[in-house]
Amino acid sequence: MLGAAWKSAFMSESRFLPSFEPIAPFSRLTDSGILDSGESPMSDEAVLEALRYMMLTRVFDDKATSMQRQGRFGTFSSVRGQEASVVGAATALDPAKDWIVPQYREFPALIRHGYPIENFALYFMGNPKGGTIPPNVNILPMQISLAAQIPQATGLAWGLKMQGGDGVVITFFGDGASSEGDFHESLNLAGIVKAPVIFFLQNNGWAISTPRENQTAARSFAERAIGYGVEGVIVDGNDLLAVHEVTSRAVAKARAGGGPTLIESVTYRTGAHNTADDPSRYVDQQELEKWQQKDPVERIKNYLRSRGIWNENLEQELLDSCAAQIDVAMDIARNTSLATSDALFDHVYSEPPQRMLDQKSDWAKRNGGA
Amino acid sequence: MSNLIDYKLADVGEGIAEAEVIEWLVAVGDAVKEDQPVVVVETDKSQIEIPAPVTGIVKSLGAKVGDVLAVGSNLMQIEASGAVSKDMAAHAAAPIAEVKQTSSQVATPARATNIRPLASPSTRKLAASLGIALEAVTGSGPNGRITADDVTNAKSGSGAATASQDIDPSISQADGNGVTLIQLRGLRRQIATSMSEALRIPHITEFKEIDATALMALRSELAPQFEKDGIKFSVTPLLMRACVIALQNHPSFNARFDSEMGEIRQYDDINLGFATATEDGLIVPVMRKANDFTISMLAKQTEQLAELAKTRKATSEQLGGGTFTVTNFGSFGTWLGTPIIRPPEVAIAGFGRIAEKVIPVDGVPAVRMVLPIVVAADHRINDGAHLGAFVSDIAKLLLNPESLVK
Amino acid sequence: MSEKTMIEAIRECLGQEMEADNRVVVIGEDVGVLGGVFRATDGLQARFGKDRVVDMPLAEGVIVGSGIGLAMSGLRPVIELQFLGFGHQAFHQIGQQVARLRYRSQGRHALPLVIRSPFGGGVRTPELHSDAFEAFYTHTPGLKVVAPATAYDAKGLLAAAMESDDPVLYLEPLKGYRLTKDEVPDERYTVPLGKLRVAREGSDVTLIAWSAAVNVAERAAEELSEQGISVEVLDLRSLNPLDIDGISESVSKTGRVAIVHEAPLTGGFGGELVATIQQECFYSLEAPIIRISAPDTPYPLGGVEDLYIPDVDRVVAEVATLAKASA
Repeated sequence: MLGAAWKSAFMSESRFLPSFEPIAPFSRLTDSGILDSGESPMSDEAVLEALRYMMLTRVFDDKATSMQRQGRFGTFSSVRGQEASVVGAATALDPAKDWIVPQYREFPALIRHGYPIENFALYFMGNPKGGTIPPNVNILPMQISLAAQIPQATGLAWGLKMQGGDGVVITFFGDGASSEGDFHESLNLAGIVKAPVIFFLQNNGWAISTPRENQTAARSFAERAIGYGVEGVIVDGNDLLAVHEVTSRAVAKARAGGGPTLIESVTYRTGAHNTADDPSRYVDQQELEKWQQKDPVERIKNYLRSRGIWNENLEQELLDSCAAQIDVAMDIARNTSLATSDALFDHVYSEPPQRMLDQKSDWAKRNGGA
Repeated sequence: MSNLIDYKLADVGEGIAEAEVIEWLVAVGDAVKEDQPVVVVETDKSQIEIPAPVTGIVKSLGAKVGDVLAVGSNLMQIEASGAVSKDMAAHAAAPIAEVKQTSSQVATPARATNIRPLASPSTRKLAASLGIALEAVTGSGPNGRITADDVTNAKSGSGAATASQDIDPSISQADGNGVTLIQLRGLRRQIATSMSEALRIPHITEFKEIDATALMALRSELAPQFEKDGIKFSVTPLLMRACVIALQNHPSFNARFDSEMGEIRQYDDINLGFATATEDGLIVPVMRKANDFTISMLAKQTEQLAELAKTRKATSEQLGGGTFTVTNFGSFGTWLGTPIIRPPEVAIAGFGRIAEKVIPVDGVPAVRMVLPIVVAADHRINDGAHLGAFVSDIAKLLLNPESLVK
Repeated sequence: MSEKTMIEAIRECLGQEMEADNRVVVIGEDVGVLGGVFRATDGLQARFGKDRVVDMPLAEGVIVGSGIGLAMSGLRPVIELQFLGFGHQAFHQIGQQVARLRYRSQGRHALPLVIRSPFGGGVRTPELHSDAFEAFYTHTPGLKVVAPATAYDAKGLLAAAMESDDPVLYLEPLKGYRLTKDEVPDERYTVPLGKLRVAREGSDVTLIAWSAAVNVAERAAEELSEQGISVEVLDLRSLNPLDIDGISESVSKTGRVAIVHEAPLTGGFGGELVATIQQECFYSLEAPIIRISAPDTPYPLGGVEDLYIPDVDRVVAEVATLAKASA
């Protein structure tokens, strides 16, 4: 049998016991939204701002799904069920100096950071112009190749540090993506160079139809960090305050030169993987209902109600305001000129080869001009 | 922009081809709001609700419950109550955009450094098999490309078969040291090539001089009729007619020879070429089926074709396909010459200047108008004896010219 | 101006460019303390520090991926892939990401990075060290690909690649590192991307090559001249962008073309050249265009390597036949 010295040689962090007992994710709110005895990590204004982004996402997701059914949006992935996870993390950042390196399920984080909603819509309408990122908006484009953005986030953070800045980088990805080699190579490098990067792993229970249990034998995703000499922490992803607190601490640590953190945000995807998916084929109805009752938006509203600063009127006002904001953006996107053949060629190179330029004009001639 | 939308079934599931209508949630005449579910359909992946794309009134339904609709077919028509956005107009109105068929070939740009003649590989092969150097051929294709026709025309030795160039005076360069450099171009170059080729033919040549008194008399007799028609009548048509008749009796001289294939083609019809001097060089127009021509037709045709040749307006039809050539070098004062056969023909008749000479008549010297006749033949096709007989026949006809006008 | 080997030229370029621009950083396996397994980066870490010349962990994916991140943070990374064969371990980051981020972001994230990588045979390496994989990368729109054959071009092209705001894959010939020696200016200079070099003028046959094959082509041309065949050798230098005008000019002159490359025949970059030449110069051609290359098999072990990559004798024989082929 393993002796005590042998056991303790394995793990030194108290949170990670060698006994493989399940770990309780860090949380501040009860399931019904009541804060624990400590101080709230977010002011009322901050929570209201966060709620706005969560509602905006709900409204947008519904609109986008409808657009997809009409054939006006391509395949689309909603954030449904993960609003607190994304927004709690996003609100810990400073858009002026920090960077977001997204996967594709982080709409509210990108919008808060300055990415125009109409560009996001254009992207899903299949117009390359949608990929346009305005100057001074510190985000990378959405990434379809899972986990490929993680090394880039590491390099970006490392580069910022090298140049003496104090900006940090957060990169979002899922439980599925964390099985890719890029995830492991990135954590490894980040640990070596102490890059100021937050690896935000949204464990939403599914990679399309692959449940979390089939993704890894590890007890948690967060403890993989130890293997790379990096700190890891598990948080209740449906608890806006907890997510915000944990992320803020990681951001502060990174800013101060303390290096990277792996945050595992335990949440649940209550919608489909994307508009082409039918989750009823593999999701257990009871499990889904259980998680729907822990809806993150309801939970934070309950918190606000418990503080006496939320009611039906405010709810309706917020809904209307979000709908109006989305409508304006959709209007712009829908009335943007359709992409011409030039969209195939523009921005591929800084200095295009002649052959490509010839192709561009051939295409323009054949397709009725730019 | 009409506000009536043809709302089509979209590919809602990444690659589905069709969907079955399960339930209509609205009816014709109903008011609908944008995003309001209007119909439930089932694909092989799942059952889904399709929402309205615009706010408005339902004008018609495109299918019944149970119908299977292909993606892209009409679900329903909606009269939109507000402005219809650009992306919807394109999606819904959707006339199949006409794909303009433009040539996908990028035109071969004319390259500045075109040192080598342009010709397709098959044309190059043809030229090589005919023994023709491409540098000597003028191309009539785009960017001066040499076509297969250009090659075959050059081979038939018709000289100016294609749009050839006059010698550009600017090409001659006087260098001030008593030397003028003239580049071989155009017609001159073609003649040079043909002549070089012709010399590969083993020529035998027979000379004969005959008393042209009767011939000249006939000419004078016939001249007035032609002068009435404005045609200057020389002995040439009579000489041509003599050759034509003689050829009909000696078909081995009315032929074309393919030396590479070793084939002789003898023709029933006589396509008679006659050498015509032009400013730029010798051109040989051809009268097709000259065997059918009367003297009068010969005279007229000769004059017309000569004119066309001189003005470089003769077509390739008029310049090719000859079976026998006549050359009247007497017209520029030459007494005797050695005409050169035009390949692939096998013989050529030349006539020298008719002039006074002392010849024996009835055993005593007399002064008569004498016509020199020279006929050259390809010795691979005809021997000396054949040639002798052929030339005798021509001579006989010209000594008794009434036979020509019959 | 002095005579330098290609490796010296590359090293000199890196040093000078790093001196001139603080944003240039070098990352790769063994590039720092060791100075690179071929010493391409020898002395650079001592001169510029560990922050600018970084020994990376053994993970090509994150080497390229983090290089992308560095570029987006405002730096100008020169990333070393120790051997082009191992680029496959990073291929998704190159093909899906390096080549596309500018397009994906509609110009917002240009990637002014260079990936340096050696390849090529004749040095008896273990498996995958010599493979000529350039065709995988020339088929990747958004990525430029260059391959110098001389020390002069090595320095100038590398400088040009580093100056470019487009990502460039810079291929180095393993065999040529030390064997290639020529006059290289001491100061900084560039050789333009997208322009070939006429290595030898000739009139009978155009012989096209790049990287180490250029040397083979030149030696073959010398032998052929003794047979009375005048060969024009084109050193492509740049695969993307391709100098189509330069190629056409030569082919219009000679009418006969041979292409020599170390990579296997089918799907090799030679095929692209054949297609381009027949499209642009069809009416100048006297004979079919030939490719002299490795067979359609994986790169073998050193013992049979000489049978695999085209050598001078083979090039001489095939070009001589081409020169005599009738139209």
